[in-house]
Amino acid sequence: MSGFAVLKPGVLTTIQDGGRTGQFHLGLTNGGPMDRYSFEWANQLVGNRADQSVLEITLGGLQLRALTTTRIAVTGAEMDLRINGISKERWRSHSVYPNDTIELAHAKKGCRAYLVVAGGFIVPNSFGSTSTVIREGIGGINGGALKRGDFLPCLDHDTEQHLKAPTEIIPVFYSPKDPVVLTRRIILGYQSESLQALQDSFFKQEYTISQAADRMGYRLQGSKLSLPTKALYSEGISYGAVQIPPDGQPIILLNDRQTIGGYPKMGTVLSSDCYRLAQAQHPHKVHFKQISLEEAQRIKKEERLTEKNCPPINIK
Amino acid sequence: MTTSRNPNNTVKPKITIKTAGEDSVIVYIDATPSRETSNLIAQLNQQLQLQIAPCIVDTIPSYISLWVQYRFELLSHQALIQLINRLWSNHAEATEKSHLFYSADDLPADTQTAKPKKCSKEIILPVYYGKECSPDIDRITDLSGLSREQIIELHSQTSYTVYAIGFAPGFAYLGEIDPRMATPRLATPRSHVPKGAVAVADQQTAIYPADSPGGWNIIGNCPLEMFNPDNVPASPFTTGNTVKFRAIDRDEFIALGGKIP
Repeated sequence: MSGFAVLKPGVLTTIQDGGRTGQFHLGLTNGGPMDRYSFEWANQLVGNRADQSVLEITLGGLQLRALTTTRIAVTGAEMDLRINGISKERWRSHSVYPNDTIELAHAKKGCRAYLVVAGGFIVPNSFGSTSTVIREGIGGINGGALKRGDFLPCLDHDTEQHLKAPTEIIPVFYSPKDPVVLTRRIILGYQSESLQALQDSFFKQEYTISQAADRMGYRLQGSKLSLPTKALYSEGISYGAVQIPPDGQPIILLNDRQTIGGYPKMGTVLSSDCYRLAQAQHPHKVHFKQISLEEAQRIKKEERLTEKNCPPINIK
Repeated sequence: MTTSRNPNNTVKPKITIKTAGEDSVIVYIDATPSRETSNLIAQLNQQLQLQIAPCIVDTIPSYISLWVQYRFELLSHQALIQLINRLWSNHAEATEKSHLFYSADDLPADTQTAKPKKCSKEIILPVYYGKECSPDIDRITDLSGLSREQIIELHSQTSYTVYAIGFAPGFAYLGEIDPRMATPRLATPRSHVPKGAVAVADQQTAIYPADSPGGWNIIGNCPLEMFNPDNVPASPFTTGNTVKFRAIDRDEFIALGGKIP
């Protein structure tokens, strides 16, 4: 069978597809790509459907051996890509041949890169998705991160066609050496009315992303918000929900969040802003800006149109 | 807010609907968790899934709320809220068409009259309360003054409702245990709670579907699988279901696949 052998798995590399939906009633969360923008572009660069199975490489250090002829592409965080030791461009597709070595160095900017192959990696679906959620032991290869010696099956896909993303769509990711403030747009909701007294302080602050920022959520650090002490019954948690636990430090809940929880929530960050957030890390700063629901839905509708209008350019 | 009467002519609690993000809302029931509240939530959930399936991405029923993720390209926020209010009140009120991409008039005629099936299935689960599997029973006897036998009897004779599913796949929050044996969580959670552990915390009880950390008081073990991706269904629980426990002896526990630690 054709595919890739894992020589070095890197810090944390998992299989992800578009994510798992319709399984919240079992307590199964979404999983899926933390930076969906880079993920969808990766798939597009090799002619895949937008949601096929790719590798999400966190912080880098991956080394694979090709056992097949196919096309690959890497998007997302800045990790030097080398094929047989030769530096290759990211955000475009490349041919690889049996015995080629593919390496991704440690991230210079951003956190998460996406490596795609034509046709996607062929991994069995679990509850309708291949996305790995390590906490649940679901998806990917035996529900876990990649290990040395794993085999990643894919199709043999011999083609000379090369696709490149137009340079204007390639986002500039932020590196820890170059601290910037990410303004995250939030739609107020959930308990925001009972948290009204905290809103001034919440919106004024520049929060620092803490070291505890992973696929479950990004814990922020700032001056403590003192919460009204009202116990809540656990309730459904949206992707991007901003939860304020008793320590008064907000957590932005992301792909691998628990499906229910009982801490009050100020509202929910626009999904597109979560994708970019997933490329930031400690000690980046986050600042919140309120947007209306109408505005959020308008932005999402426009994004879909723009992405459709901006297919990768064939530069053969 | 909408108040109305349900078919058996008791006043339904009010609901409040809040935004929960760009594509989700959360419906709060103005009531305390109870079997009745859970059944009302399960019915609303079922009606939404039946009536506007193409517009619904996912839902999460919980203690006193129903979280709904929807496709706003198909159904506007306002239309969804109107529909939820209408389903809650079971009233066929005229819906303002200007807000709708998916008009209320396009919905099947029985939206107004459909009575969902009863949501309260009952499941009975075997539990071994033996000493090897119940490290925290002594703590409960100390705090409550009840004997070990009384605790086992109270725990296995109560009928519980699945209030919520979460924390981990197949982890069902069951309420409510007899108030006499209500016990706070452990001050320091255990790093390892074995799969199948039957535990109590405050007024709730649950079964750990897999080995995991946890701070609940362990009083027994259930030998059946609470979550297995290869089973259909993967978990025996549905929010709103009724659950009872049946005390079993060591031999039956082992025969059913239970493991003595």
